[in-house]
Amino acid sequence: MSHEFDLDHLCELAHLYLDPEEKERLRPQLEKIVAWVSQLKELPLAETIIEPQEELRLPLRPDLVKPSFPLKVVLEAAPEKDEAFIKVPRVIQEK
Amino acid sequence: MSSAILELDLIELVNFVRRGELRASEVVEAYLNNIKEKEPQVKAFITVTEEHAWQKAKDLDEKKEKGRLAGAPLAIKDNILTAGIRTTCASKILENYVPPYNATVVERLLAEDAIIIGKTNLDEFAMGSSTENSAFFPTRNPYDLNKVPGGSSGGSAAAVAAREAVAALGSDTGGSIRQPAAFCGLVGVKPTYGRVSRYGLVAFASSLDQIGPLTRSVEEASLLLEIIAGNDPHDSTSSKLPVPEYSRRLGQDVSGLKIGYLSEEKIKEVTPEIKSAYFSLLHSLEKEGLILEPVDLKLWAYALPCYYIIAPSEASSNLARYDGVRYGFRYPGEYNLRTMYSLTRTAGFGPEVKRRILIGTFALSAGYYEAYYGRARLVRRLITREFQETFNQVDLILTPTTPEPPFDLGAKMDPIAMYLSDYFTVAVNLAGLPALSLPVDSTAEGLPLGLQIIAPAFEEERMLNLAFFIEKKVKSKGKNFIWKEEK
Repeated sequence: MSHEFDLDHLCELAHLYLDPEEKERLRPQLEKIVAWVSQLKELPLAETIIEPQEELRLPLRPDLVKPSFPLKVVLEAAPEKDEAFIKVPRVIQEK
Repeated sequence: MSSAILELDLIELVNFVRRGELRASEVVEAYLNNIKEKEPQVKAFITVTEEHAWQKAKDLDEKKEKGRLAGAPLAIKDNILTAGIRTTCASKILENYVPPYNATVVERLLAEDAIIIGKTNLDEFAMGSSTENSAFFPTRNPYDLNKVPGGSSGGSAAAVAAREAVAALGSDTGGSIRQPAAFCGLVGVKPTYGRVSRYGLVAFASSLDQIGPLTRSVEEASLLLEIIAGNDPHDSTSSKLPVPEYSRRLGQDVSGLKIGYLSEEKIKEVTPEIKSAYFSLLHSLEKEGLILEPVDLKLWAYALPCYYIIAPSEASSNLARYDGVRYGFRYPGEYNLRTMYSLTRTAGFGPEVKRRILIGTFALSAGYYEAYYGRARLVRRLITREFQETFNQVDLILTPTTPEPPFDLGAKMDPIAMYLSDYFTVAVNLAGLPALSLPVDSTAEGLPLGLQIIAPAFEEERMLNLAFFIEKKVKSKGKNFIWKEEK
């Protein structure tokens, strides 16, 4: 199991940093969970097809403009702001 | 006077307030005093909304036409948004988050003049079965302070059991209302998927989550459910089916109902006390004229592993929004954007949330998606079909709610051992069905035991009606609320 479980890659995808000790603690737990959920492989599913009507279909709502939350209220919750904007760190790095 | 108020159930309390025989401010005073007394031990609340409660009571006492929940002090799980009242999800990442709007369920409760007495503790983002995964503190079971109250709606269950609220709302993704209800001697209802609006419920696994009531009786649960249920334009998955007046439709004849049950072999992992409560209840129902039929839910054993692929997959996607940009915690310091995301999430999420995000990320990642998420989706469909076929033969299914009675704090350090606590409850969420847990007995030590009734989709009325019948029969045995001091 461990060969297919690339914890470093998963942390990168999930935007998490784990220090080496946390990784060592989590790795066996996660491998055990993945091995445990893999019991589903026992079930023969080759013939199983989901009919379209069996799954939840989301209805479309009318395409109408409705009032939303006022800007002031939305900005209230932002960790950092600048006038009418939410402030974020620099995205493109200077060379 | 104060203790007499605490003894009133939701229906009696509202009637007194509506008739003007009891002032809402007297109710609030009684409950806040009880919270002050019990809370140091039980720790059910993350926030006690004292100011809101007094204000609401004052307004209500001056109001002429009072609603169907007039003066009822309710506890709300802290993953349900309350405008102007901090909503944390028991997570560091939302520790100081004050939402700008109410969840639809909260709007509906307030419109009927309910009073929010506080926001209750939970496992962080509702991920857990003991409320020990709260980033702030664990909640304790009021029946025995060394035991967990269950989870993830453990704070809501403990608050009602300790009379810190007359009733509460919780949320149920894999058993998070029913298991704490069983552990705290309460009625807990998980409605059909789509019966209750999820607008304003912080999303954990959107295809499984439902909000429902935790109460001391079936009638109270029925009243709360009929108030919170119904279509909501803000939640496109909420059903347009009409909502019956559940609380007025209790007491119908149950003889002749066909009850599906699990054989001895199917519940061999269950403790002897729960097994004996289960089979003696079945026996009593048969004597009352109900028809028992064993049901062979073959795929039941696969529900937990299926759930632990689907729920974490949805969680990993839903929790991507916590990145320190628009709301919640942001890791301080000068970093580039990607580093800020990662530092924020690493510091903001607790261990169980990280585990589930990583499992979900794995199940959805390139190369593994079909083998894990795709397979789980098919198994989920088969489980749903199996339930549908079973409900062609029986009207309701009766099972234990939990494999064991409330366990000690710290007893389940292994994640999978904790997951197994939801053995009887998760299949219901996968199939989108309604189910409730009902207290039926207690252990030799006086800890509550609950049984689960499962109904076909949107047949809450039938389920509540059987629960009401059982409750009337079981109540005669008497239930002693035990207040054990911490060892």
